[in-house]
Amino acid sequence: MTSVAAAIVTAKAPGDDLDAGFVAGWLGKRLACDTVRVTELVKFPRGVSRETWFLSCEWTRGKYTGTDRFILRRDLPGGSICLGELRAEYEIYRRLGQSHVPVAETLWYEDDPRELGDHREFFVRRHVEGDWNIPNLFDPDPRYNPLRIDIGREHVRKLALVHGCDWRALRFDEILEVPPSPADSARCRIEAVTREIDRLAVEPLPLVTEAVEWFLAHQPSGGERICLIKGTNGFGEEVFRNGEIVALSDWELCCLGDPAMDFALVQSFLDDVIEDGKQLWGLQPALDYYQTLTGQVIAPQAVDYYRHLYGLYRVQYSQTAAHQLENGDKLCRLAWLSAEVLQLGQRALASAIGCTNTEIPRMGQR
Amino acid sequence: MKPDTSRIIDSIIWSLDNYVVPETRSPFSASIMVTVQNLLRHVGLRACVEPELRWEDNADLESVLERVLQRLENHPQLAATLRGGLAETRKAVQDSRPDPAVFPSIDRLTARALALRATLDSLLKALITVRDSYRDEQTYLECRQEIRNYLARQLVREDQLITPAFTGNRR
Repeated sequence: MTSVAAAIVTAKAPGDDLDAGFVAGWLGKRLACDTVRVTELVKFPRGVSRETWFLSCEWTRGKYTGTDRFILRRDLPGGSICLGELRAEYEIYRRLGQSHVPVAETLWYEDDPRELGDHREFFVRRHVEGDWNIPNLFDPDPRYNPLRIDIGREHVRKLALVHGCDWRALRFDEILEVPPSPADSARCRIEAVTREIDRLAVEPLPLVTEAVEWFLAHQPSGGERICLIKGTNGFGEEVFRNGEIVALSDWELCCLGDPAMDFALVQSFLDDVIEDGKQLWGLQPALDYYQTLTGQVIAPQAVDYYRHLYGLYRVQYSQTAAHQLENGDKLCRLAWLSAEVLQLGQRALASAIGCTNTEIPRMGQR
Repeated sequence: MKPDTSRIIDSIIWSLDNYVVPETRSPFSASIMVTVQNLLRHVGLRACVEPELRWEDNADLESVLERVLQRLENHPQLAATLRGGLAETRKAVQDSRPDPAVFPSIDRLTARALALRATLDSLLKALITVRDSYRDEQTYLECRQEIRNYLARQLVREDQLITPAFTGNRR
């Protein structure tokens, strides 16, 4: 007989938040334990596209006792902001678990209504010890330049690992759209995102119509082969331990396509490091280093193209958020996405078609 | 009426900042408070600035559509190719015109903005379908440029509701 207990948990918010009692009961069955005591259940504050919960527990099984730490992922009440489904995200982790790419081990996907009660479906992965934060990374003191370069190079090594995955052998073609050729990579992304914007039909967006025409007319070559692409990556997305990435996280924009896209979506790890007028790190040194690792040449123009194309993704997030608000969801994050993120996205689109000469929004923490 | 909307919203943000945020213990709640403060500034701007911006943008877009229609109608080949589309555009512009006797509330201004933008979007899609045949025609290029120039102005207007409001961390 499993008994459950809970401690150190935040108060249950009305309506939809997880509660420790439910989690302890559910874990008790999954871990086949006599008792489970939830000692931590905290929602990660920064998540926007989906909810991420940190949970820790103490358990007993016969004469054995132990502790475990897990990460639970589930959609917002109205669904995800991103295109991919929660199940697909789980499947991405599961497939990568069979590769050399460092990811957290996925354990369970729960969609059984008898187990969920009035909760939304979720999946659970094992917590990986480490930290997404990197002390001193943003300290402008030049003595931290070697740190910035080391972190950047480590990140490029891991991107090379992702891009080198045998995605067919890992059966990614069963869960992700396969472009007919490398040259079709950008088109597939454009069509997927615009299809969703059209489906939502929140408001007419002539700037999107104008920009899509430009993106289709200026597609990059797509590289030598179709690669597995991580999606948003860099600072805040990966888990570090002793300067090494021990888990690549946040795969919700994962797709098959052009590796240039991943370099466009790097957050902060490609910031310029310049000493005595010499560029020691930044986009071009990173691309050169990547070439030494993979033999693949990525043109900076292709990276710039995908930086602008990310504006279309931002518009899609904003439209999904607005749609959820229209359907009665109340979380204020959605209002922020529908207001500011729409504007950021449209700014990138306007820059792509030459309407404005303002700098495009940086990838990162917005 | 005093205090005005801006002052009321400023007082809400200040009070949240000084009395609620320091008492907020959960990281998620603290993060939500950051988003709330940004959104309150945005709502303040919308209350004060949005009606005039919408009114100005609607007038701008209507005149852009009129000029583009005029150019296209004066080009016999293009006019023939786009005939149905041009008639629809002209009708949509006419239908969107407000009754001058009715107060232009923000809801009415927004409804008109959506109607005019939908009209522009349809016209743009029609122009894109004939691009390969007319891409070197002066009239075609001028129409496309006129639309792009408007889109740039629209973005600048919308930015007045965004950039001053969203500052610092967002979450």
